[in-house]
Amino acid sequence: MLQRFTTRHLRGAGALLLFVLLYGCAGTAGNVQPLTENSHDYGATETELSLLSKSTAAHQELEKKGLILSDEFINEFVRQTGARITPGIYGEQIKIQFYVLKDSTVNAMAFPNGNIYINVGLLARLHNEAQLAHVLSHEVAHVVQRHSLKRAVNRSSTIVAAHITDLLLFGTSIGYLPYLSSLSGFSQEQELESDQYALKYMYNASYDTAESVNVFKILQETSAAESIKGSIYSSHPTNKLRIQQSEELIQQQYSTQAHALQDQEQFLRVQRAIERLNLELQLTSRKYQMTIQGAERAIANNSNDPWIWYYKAEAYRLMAKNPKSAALERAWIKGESQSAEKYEQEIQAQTQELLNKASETLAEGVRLAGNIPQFHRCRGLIAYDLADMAVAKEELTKYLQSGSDLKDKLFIERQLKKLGG
Amino acid sequence: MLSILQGCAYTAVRQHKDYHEYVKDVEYIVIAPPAVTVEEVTFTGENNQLTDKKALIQSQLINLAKAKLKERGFKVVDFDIDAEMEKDKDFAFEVNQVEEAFKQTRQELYDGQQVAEEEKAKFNSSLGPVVNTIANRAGADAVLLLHYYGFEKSSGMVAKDIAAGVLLALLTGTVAASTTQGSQVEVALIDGDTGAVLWVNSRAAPTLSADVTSIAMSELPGTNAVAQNTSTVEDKPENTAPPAPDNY
Repeated sequence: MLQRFTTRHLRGAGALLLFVLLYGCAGTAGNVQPLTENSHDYGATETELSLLSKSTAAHQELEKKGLILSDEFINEFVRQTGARITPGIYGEQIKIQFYVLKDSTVNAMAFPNGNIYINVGLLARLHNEAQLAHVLSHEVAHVVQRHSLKRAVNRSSTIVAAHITDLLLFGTSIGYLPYLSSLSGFSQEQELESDQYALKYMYNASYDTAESVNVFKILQETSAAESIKGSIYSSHPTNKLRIQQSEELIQQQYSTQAHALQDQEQFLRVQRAIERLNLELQLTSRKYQMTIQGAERAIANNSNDPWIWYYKAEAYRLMAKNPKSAALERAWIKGESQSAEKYEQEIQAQTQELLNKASETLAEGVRLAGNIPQFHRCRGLIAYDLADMAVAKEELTKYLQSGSDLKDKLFIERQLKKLGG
Repeated sequence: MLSILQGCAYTAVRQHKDYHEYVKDVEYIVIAPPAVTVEEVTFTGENNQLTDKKALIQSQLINLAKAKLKERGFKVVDFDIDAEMEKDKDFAFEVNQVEEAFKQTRQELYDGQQVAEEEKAKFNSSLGPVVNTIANRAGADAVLLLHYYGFEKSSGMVAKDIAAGVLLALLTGTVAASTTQGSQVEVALIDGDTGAVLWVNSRAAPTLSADVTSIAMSELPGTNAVAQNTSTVEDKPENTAPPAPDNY
């Protein structure tokens, strides 16, 4: 009885599934016109209105959490670069706006309401304005081509298909999970299409299109742990394909002009400010090894900023203090989640070495800048860990005396109290 | 039999190894704005945020947490962090950084290993001085973090679950119960000076309500609670070394 029911049922269900999947392929996303066409009907459907409302809510959330960078110099630079590459759009309903997010992951994203966000983590990895122009162009292309709407239209069909599969799998949801995506998640085809338009926008704005290839190369070097899983900025296998496509298009249509637009001095000012913030954010996120790598990159780029040495020293000190977090990070970077325990033991065995490295690194910062208050703090905490109580007390006291509005005053006071100060 | 069962009891509670030492200095606690997500799970996969229910649950969470903290002998600081965040974006970011730091620390606290009841008070994790800004501005000795997720299924989703249940019953003869709503809460008490994670608990319930918070917080030791299994002064070997620095 059970066998007869199963066979008959599965045959019928198979036919139903085939129908639904085929139906799912025949979406209506093809009717969606880009915003550069006069005939676009932006905001005319319930699906798009829902996306716009979600975009607004998400932006409000980012603002509420203070995640949008308020540095006027950096914002203005990003805005101006973005304005140069943005193509003409029909209608008043949509404005492309650019924001920098205080987030150390290597990522950028576009919302269907025209908001483009670039993370501090990605901005810190770029080398010049043309590379920034490429990233912004790519994101603008998602908005102009209305990729979110197209994906949502296709998704409604595919999700129904997924639920049917889910029913056949008796509620295990195995077929359902891969279909979930976020507001700014796009298909690989859409990413490649955005790359094509990005070259066009860069070319029209007189940016060096060859820098787009360099962006992909930077992304290839980016550790998986630095980016967001599923983001195009982490899709390493696709970078080869993206490089190939861009090189072909540059050769055929968008060969670099001799007068390519660049303002390297301004860009370097932006980058110096961003580097420091990025390292601070990485430390808060307990990405100690990535902080060290980031600091080393900045130092290799001839950064004379003493703060870079401070953050590097703090990363060594905190690795020694938090071996478990450092081990989780190492396991994550290497993609070996099972090895965290082994790494924890390794890092614990290196405590003294890490604290010595922290001291040496800090000394280099002092050589460059003299003693800025935070250097006293770092030296005091290292000394405390090395059980050099006299130095710890002296340095932490100097730090506390350096100002009344220190963010971590309570923490340092508590350490001094323990030291009998 | 009972002792075997008790021996195998696991807990979601993570308590600092020096909880009772830290709590001696904790009189005032400020409650950070609860991070709340309440959604309707729909058949199309486009889940709807239930904003009205979210606002209601947010205020209920604060009231329930306040009551539980007072019951445990703490005083709750009336400080509107939300309003301060609105006024000062840098402060808003500092609050967000506390949440970010907790997210990272959670990986240490809940690393996939189950923790037996008698092992729960051996933790030593810290968010570090990032929490100082909130504590300082609110005039609090500790900060309470609340994270809540609640859902209810749409009628379409419920129908789908029933259909799946019927299929399963036909094939296996087993009737599977499927919840139509649920909630999960995580409560964390953080020392305002050092960032030490003093106490964390997480609980789930098959209902969409804030009540699960009271259940989670009922396990929070009060200010008068005595440390268990701590050795007496006489038992301790003589130790002249100064106290260790905080774990950050």
